[in-house]
Amino acid sequence: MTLLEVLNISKNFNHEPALSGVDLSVDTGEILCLLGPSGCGKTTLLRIIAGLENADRGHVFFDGRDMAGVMPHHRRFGMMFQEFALFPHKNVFENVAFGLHMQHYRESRIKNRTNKIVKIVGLEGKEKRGVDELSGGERQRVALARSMAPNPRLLMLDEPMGSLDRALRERLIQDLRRILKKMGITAIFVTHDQAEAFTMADRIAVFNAGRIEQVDAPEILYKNPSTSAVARFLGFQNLIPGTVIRKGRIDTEIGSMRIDTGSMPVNQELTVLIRPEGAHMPEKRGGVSEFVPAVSGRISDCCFQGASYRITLITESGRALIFFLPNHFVPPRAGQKIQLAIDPGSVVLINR
Amino acid sequence: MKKINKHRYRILLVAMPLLFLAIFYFYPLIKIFSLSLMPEGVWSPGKLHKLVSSTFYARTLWFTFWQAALSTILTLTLALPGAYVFARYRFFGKNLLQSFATVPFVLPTVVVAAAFQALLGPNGLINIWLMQWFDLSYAPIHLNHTIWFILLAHVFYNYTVVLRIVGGFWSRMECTLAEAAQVLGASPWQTFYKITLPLLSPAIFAAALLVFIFCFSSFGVILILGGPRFATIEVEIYRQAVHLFNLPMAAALSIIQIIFTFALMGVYTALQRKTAVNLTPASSARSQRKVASCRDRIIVGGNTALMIFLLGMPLLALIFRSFSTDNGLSLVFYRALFENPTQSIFFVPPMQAVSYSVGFAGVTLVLAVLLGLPAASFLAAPQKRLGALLDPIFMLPLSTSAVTLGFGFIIALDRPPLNLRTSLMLVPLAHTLVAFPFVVRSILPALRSIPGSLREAATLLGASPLKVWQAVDMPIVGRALLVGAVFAFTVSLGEFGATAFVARPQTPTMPLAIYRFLGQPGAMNYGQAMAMSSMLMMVTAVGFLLLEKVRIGGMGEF
Repeated sequence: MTLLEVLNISKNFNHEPALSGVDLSVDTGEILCLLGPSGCGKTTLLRIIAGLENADRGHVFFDGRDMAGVMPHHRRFGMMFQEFALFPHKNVFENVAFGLHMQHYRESRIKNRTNKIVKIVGLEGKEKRGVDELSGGERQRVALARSMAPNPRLLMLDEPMGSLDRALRERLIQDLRRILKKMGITAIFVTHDQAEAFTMADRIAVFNAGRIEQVDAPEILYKNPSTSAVARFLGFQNLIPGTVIRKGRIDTEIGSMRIDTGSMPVNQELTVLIRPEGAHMPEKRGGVSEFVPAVSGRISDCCFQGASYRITLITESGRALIFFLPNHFVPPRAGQKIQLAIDPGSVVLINR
Repeated sequence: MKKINKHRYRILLVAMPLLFLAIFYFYPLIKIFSLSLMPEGVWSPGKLHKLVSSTFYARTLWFTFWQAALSTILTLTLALPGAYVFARYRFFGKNLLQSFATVPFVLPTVVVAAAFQALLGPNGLINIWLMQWFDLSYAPIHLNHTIWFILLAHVFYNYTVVLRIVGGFWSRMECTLAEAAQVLGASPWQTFYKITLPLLSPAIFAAALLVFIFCFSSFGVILILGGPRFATIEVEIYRQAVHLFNLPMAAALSIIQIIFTFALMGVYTALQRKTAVNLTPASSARSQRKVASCRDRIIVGGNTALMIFLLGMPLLALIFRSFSTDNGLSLVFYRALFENPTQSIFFVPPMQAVSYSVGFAGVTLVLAVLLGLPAASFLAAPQKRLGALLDPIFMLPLSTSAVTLGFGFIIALDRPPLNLRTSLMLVPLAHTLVAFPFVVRSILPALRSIPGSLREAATLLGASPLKVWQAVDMPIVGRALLVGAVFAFTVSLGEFGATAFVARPQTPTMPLAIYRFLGQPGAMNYGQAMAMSSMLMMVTAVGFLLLEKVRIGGMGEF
C-alpha cells in the first residue's frame, strides 16, 4: 500500500535547480534508499518531505492527504540528521525522550518507552551520559533512538553513516536494517554509498542532478541499470557506445558483437555495458569462436586481488576496460596481447 | 646550559611589562588600600567600616547596582531581536549595518553624552523641532538629569555588545538542532524555549554580564547626563576626590569598586571560556536564509529601522547641532575652537586640546605596543605555570575602572619617590595602562594561531631565532599589531575617567574640553562642545571602521 507519494517536486536554489520534477512513492513498511552523488538534491527532497523546506512546485501526499501547509511538528515524521543534531544540553535519556514529551505522554509511559528504545539500540546503562561523552557509533544510536521513539509514521535518515569510519559503518548498517525491520518502520534512507544502499534498501532510487534516474530493487538495479549515469554511479567502468546494425548484431569501436538486441530497432544508438566479472580466457587454442562476443587488446596492468585478478585491457581504439579474471587461470602478463571471451549474460544494453 | 639561556631570555621579555604594571598599577592600588585602611599612617580599619556602614555609601552602591541592572535588561530586550536577525538572515547591507552598530561602543563616553544632549537635551534637536512645530515657549521633553537619559545612553552604548556576542554565538549554532526538535513535534515556541534558549543562555548571560560591568562602572554618561542628582560609585569617587578633597572616602569607594569589578570580571572570564568551546561551528551560509516572505521583511525591516533610529539618530543630531546656529547652518562653532577669547574657560585655545590629545595618543600607542608586544610573545609561547599566572595579571587593568586608576595615580605619583604631578607623561602613562591589555589581547590570538611546526620548519631550514621571528611571526602578526596600535590610539583619544584626574588644567584633552564646554552655559559653549564631539566621533569612528576591514575573521573579539 502506498504510504508516501511525491509528485512532480521542483525546487530552485539561487536560480539553480536542486530538484526538477521528482516523482516517488514509498509503500508501508518499506525501506527506500535515495542513492546519488553528494549535492544532487537528496537532502533537499528529505527536507521538503519533512516540511522543513517548501517546494517551488509539486505535492507531497501522505496517507492520501496533501501535506502542503502542515507544519513539520504536526507531521509526526522522524528524521535522523547528517551530523545527528543531538541536543548538547541534554543527556542520552533526555534526548531520546524529547519527542515523547512533545506528544504529552504521561511521565511513566515516557520512561518505559525511552528505556525500551534505548535498550533496542544497545545503549543500556548509558542513559545519563552527556552526548559529548559518547563515541561516534553511540551518538548515531542515540540519534536513531531519538527519531524512532515517538513512533514516527515515516522515518527519514540523512546519510546516517556519513561521519563514521568504514569498519563501524559496515557493522552498524546491518544493525540499522534489523532494527527498522523489527519495528516495522517505513523509512527513507539517503546515502552516496552504493554498498550501504544495497545492504539497507528494499528499493533504491538513483538520483542524479536533481532527477530520479531509476527506481528498482537492488538486484534489478544492478542487473539492468536503465541509464549510463546509473551504471556509472553503480561503479561500472566498461561502458562503450555502440549502434544496432541489424537484429542480434551491434557495432562498437572495439568491433562488432553478436548479442541479443531484443526489440531494439536498427540504427538505435546505445551504450554497451560489460560487467567486469563477465570475461574469461578463451578455452580453445584458436581463440574465441565468432559466435561468442569478445574483446581484444593489450594488457597494461594485472594485479592479484585474492579471489581474482584485476586486469586492465587497452583496446585498439585506446579504451581501457577493467575485468576480474578468476584466480584458477594462469594470469596474462602486462604487455601481452590477448583476446577475451565475454559471457553474453554479463552484457547489458542501455538505451541512449 | 642552552635551556637556561633561553629561559633567561624569555624572562627578560616579560620584565618590562611587569615592571610597568608594578609601578603604575600595583603601587597606586596599594596606595588606595593603605589610604582607606591606614588614613593617618596607622592601621585603623574602623574608619573604613564607619564609611561603609553609612547610608550614603549604601545608597550610592544601590543606585550603581539598579541602574546597571535596568540598563542591562533594557539593552537585552532591544538587542536580542537584532541578534536573531543577524544570526539567521542574509540581507542587503548587513555587514555595513553591523560595522555601523559598533560605532557607538567605541565612541568616547563624553561624545555619547554630548550626542544625547544634542538629540534629547533641553537644547536638543527634538525639543527644538517640537517647539517650532507646536509653537511652544518651553522644551516639552525633560530627559536631562533623569534616569531615562542615563538608561538610553547605556542602551545606545552597549547594543552592539549583545548583538556581537549573542548574534555571533547564535549564527554558529547548528540550525539542524532546532529542525530536529521541530520534526520531533516541538512547535516553534517550544523549540525556542526548550532548545534554542538553553543553548544560547551562556552567551546571553556573558553578554548581560559584560553590559552590567560596563554600566556598573559608567562614569562620563552619568556625570554629564545625570547631573548632580545621580552618582554611581565612579562618579562619587570623582566628586569626593576632586570636588570635596575627601581622599579617604574616595579610597574607600574605590575599594568597593575594585572588589565588585574584579569579581564580575572573574565570572565573565570563566563564562567566556565556556561559551567558546560549547558548540561545533556551523558555516553561517547554511544557517542563514534570505529575506523571502512578508513576515521576514517585517522582522528584518523593523529591526533595521530600530537600529538606525536608536544608534543613528543621536550621532546625526550631534553632527547637525555642531553646524546649526540661530542663523542657520554655519561653521562658526568650529571656527571658535581656534580662538581664545578672554572669557574662555581655558588657559589655551580649545584647538590646543586637539594637539594635546593627538600627542598623548601617539605616545600611548608607542608605549602600549612596546610593552604589549613582548608581553604577548611571552604568553604565546607554550608554557606552564608562569604564563598561566601572568595572563590574568596582564588583564587586570582592564578589570579596574578608569576612575580608580586615575585616582590611584594622583594619590601615588604626586610625591617622592615618584613625583610625576607636573609631568606631561602622566596622561599617556595612564592611557597606556588602559590600552596595554587591548594590545596584548589583539596580538595574542594571531601569535597563537601560528602552528609551532611553522617555526620549527624555518629553524630546520637554517633560520636564526631572529630570522624566524622576521620571516614567520612578523608577517602574520603584522595586521594584529596594527589593530592593537589603532586600538591604543583611539582608546587614548577618548579616555575620560582617568584623564579627569590626571590631566593638568593647562593641558586638557578633547574629552575634557568637551566636558568643560558642556558644563558652561550659553549657545557658544554648547555649540563648541558639539563641534569638538563631532570631530572626536569622526576620528574614532573612522579608526574603528578601518579596524573592521583589517581585522582577520574571528580574532579580537571582546
